[in-house]
Amino acid sequence: MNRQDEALIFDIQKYSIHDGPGIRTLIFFKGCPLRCQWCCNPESQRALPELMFKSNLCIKCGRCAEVCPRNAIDIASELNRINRDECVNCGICVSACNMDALSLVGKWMTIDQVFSVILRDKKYYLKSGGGVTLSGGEPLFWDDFCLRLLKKCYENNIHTAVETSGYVNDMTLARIAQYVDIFLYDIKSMDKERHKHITGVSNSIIIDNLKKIRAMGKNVILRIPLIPEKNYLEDELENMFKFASDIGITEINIMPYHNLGESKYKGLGRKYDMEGIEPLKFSKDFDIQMQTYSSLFKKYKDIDIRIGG
Amino acid sequence: MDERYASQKCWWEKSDVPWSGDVFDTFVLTEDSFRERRIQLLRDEIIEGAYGKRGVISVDRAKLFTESYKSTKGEPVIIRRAKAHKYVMEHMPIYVPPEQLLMGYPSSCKNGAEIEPEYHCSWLENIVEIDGVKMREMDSFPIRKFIEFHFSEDDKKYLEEELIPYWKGRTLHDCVTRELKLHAPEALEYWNESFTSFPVTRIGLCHTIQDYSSVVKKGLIGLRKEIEEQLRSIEIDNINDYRAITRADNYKAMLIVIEGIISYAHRCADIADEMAKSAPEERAKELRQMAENCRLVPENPARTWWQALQAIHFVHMLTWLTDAGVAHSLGRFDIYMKDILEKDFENGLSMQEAQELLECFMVTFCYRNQLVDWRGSMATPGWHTNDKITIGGVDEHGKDSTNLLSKMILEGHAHVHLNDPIISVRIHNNTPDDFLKHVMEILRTSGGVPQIINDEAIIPALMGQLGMPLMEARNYADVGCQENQSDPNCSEGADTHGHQNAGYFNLVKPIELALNNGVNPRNGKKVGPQTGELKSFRSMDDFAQAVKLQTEYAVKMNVIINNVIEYCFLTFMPTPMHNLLHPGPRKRGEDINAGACKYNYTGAIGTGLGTAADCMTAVSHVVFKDKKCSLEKLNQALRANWKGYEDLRNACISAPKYGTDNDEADNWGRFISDTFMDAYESHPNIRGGRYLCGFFSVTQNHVLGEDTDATPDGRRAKEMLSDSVSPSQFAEALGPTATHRSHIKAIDTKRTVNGITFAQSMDLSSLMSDRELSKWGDLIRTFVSEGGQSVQYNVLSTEQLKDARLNPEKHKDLFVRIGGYTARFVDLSDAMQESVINKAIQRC
Repeated sequence: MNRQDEALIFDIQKYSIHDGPGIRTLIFFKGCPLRCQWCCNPESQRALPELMFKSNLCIKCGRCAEVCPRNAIDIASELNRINRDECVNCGICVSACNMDALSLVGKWMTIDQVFSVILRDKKYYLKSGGGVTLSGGEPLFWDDFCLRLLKKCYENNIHTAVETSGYVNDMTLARIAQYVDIFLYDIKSMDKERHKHITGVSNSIIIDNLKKIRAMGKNVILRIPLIPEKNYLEDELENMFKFASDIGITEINIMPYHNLGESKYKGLGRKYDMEGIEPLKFSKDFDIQMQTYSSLFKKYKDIDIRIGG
Repeated sequence: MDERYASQKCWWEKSDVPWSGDVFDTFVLTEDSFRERRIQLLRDEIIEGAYGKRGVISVDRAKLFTESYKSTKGEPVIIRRAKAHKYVMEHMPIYVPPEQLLMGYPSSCKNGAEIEPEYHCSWLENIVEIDGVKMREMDSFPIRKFIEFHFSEDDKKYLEEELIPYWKGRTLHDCVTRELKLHAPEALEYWNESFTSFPVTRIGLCHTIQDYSSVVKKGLIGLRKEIEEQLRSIEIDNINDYRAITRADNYKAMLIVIEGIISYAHRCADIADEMAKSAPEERAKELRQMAENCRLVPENPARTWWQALQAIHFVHMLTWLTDAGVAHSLGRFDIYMKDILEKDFENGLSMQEAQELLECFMVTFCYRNQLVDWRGSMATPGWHTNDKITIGGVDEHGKDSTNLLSKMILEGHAHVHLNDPIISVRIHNNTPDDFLKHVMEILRTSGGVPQIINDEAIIPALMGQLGMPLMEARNYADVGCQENQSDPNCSEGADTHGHQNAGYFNLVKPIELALNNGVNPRNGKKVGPQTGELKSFRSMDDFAQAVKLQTEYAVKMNVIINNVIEYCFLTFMPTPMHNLLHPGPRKRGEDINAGACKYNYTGAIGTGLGTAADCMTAVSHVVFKDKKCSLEKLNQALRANWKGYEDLRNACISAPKYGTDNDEADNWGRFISDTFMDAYESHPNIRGGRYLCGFFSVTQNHVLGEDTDATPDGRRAKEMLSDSVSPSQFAEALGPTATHRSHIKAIDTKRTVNGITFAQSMDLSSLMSDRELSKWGDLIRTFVSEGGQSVQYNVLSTEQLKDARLNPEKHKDLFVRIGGYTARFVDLSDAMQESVINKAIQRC
């Protein structure tokens, strides 16, 4: 089978109400070319199924270690339960675990399988003005799959949204854009060097692509993750707002940093680079700090700026 | 500003609920008004009483009732009961809650629970085992975990030496057991040994919508005139017919009860006048007005809003005190009470006064306490009467009927915020957006009330199942627990007796019986038909057929039991109070239990639908499709309570589950619900009606779960069954659109006149902005247009989050949402869980 008939999906979330208009179904694709240091879905980054371990559900019965063909599980070790250098993410231990402590993140699904899940809630979309949102990871990493899935939704009168980093081939993006009603487009920094430093890639493709889809007349909501020490800096918001204004964007969602993904890093046996950095939502002075931007907000009063989606 | 009750706090000031939104801006009473502080004072009295912890057992009613009964030996039973009720109303000590504006209390003391020995009282001496200690039920009251009840040594002695011995063999429960032994020994055996269903024989007639509007508009004086005319016509024309003499007795009994009610009201008047003498001037003025009201109503037509509420409270509360029972619901209160309210506004009644009186009235729904047995008290911490008020919906011409009073009742619920009355909001395709928004904003303050019920499903169901004309069906109202009835307050003469106590039927038990060839594995008794050895089942169809046969047999047995129970109600417990307050019995002179109402059905209830559907799906998948094991091996695993069969259990848990919008599991749900309804609907009851079904559990899913062994869905022995029509604990939580769709697929809601409870948890943090509310509204509207019957949204509280932290295995489906991110709560780190909880606490 041509791999583009299938994509790796790591979650499907129904009744999603913060990622585009109305009631939506969110399809999370696995695989992303960026490595944002604060990423709250680290399991979305690699384009292969991955073993996730939840220590709070483990009763240390040892069944997983018994069945592991590569002896990659050390039941005595609390910190390095799974030897990631040995683990090939085969998932044999997952079926041995009776406690749900082990799971394989990422499931190969066909276009028809994904579409049939989307179609189930069509009546809820029609009533609420909702639809489907492709998210990730970077959904457009699965370009051919997304194109065909979006076309199918489009033909079935289902409103489509794509949440993207914009770091994709411009020809691909243009082809896909014809079936997208609205883009949720992430911008992390207007500064090339800084962008490269905090995400691993340059922003020039991203910014060019955004200009292109705006030129195509596509609806875009700009999403800005606000990350302390990374892009929560004086000039960044001003530059981003100005850019947004220049290309005629009318809605911006500011997504304050949170550390809800931290336990997932542990579950995947990875290091969390943001350790010790306070989430913005929980720090008391966050609202006060946002007020210091009030003159900025006023200046761009034609843009609907919201905290959160 | 009035300084009365200045130190009184309102409940929402002491709580962290989100008290914000459009509806709160429209409230008439605010926390700084003395009127609202009075309501909160009345509320605190209830909270501090039985609802918090302590109640008092009173034997006054039992004593008076028994005294009268002893003196009327030999008279027709309807007359004896009417006289006993009258005697109770004439002599019952009257407690007056401080600062209440309505007189009348269903017990002789504050937070009292009266005993109704005529239904069942020997259970007080049943032995229960509590923490390894065996004791009598009555001795367990003071040490109960949830609600403790206390009584004096004298009263206890009276119970032991006089009350229980006198009623031995005379109670409804004893009569039912005796008559079943005589007429249906096989059914009695099945009842005792199968653990399939628990019909109620402990309390009086339940689930009514009485004709309150006639009491308000005509007064008892008007009803008395109608009854006396009927009586005269019998005496003149028809005395040559034995049925006429029975009718005459029924009418005489109604007249006796009328005297009792009026006497109680006049005693209230005297007490209020007496209290006025020593009260401070403001209170004295109120008490004098209350006395005047009680002299006037319910004897005469009510002239004011205050009197109308007083009149309804009298007959509602005295129904508790006399005939007892629960779920005596008010029907479409916002429709039939609108005129008198508007008239009183014209006469100068202020909005504030009207709202205060309404809230005083709503508080009275929690004045009733009832003793339940130990098991019941564990399953239901906190007593519910389940008496409901229905608001909203279409009028009889199909137009939206929401009005000022609907809104006042919403405000009343927000302020009173107690277990009862439960507010049911009727929603239809044209319900105004702002009204739905107000409902959601109040739901956001937690507690799951108002409940939402759907005109688009229920009106056709009543028409199809009961042959109700369209205009009457459009005036339906909700009755606690969850049943739907015609409302005689809005459609003249359209009363219903739905005898909705046919018992909570354990939908999982027939599966268990089919797995064991008719033997109940909990006690090893052979109870059901022999539907085949397991090895004889060649396909899933064979097994499903066995489940169907077990269900049909269990239903048949249950029907026999219920018909005998209804026969016993008619023969031994005719109900003069209900006869007086129902237009059918009033018109025909027959008892409500004889089929005198316009609509007669018997309501049956299926419990554990999710677990039953999952059991069938797991058997189909694991045994017949994947062939992971034989049916015999699966049954061995169940008998071993899965010990040593963890892998098999895992496979069963991994099978598709009801509630995840999975067609296969939902179709098995449909198989279970259709089989159950087909079986019941084929049986007539003894009142010329037939059996109709509903699906809910209240808390009986815990009780029935205790009686059920390990089940093929992966559930262990004695664990609870799935709640009402919610998914089981094993179902992956895919959010509300999945559960809503599963529910609609699994149940044919055009049949379920007896109601459905569908509970859905919602995360408060996803309901804070107007935009989020409007999406929630669209969820509700889609559910309504798709034909869901009812839904109850539980907005998650901090307590649940805390419990989830301690018991992650129980809360796998709990999602939290913060800043554009949804997470399964149990997946979060300790520190994160703590911050989520703290956020929930600080939300306001």
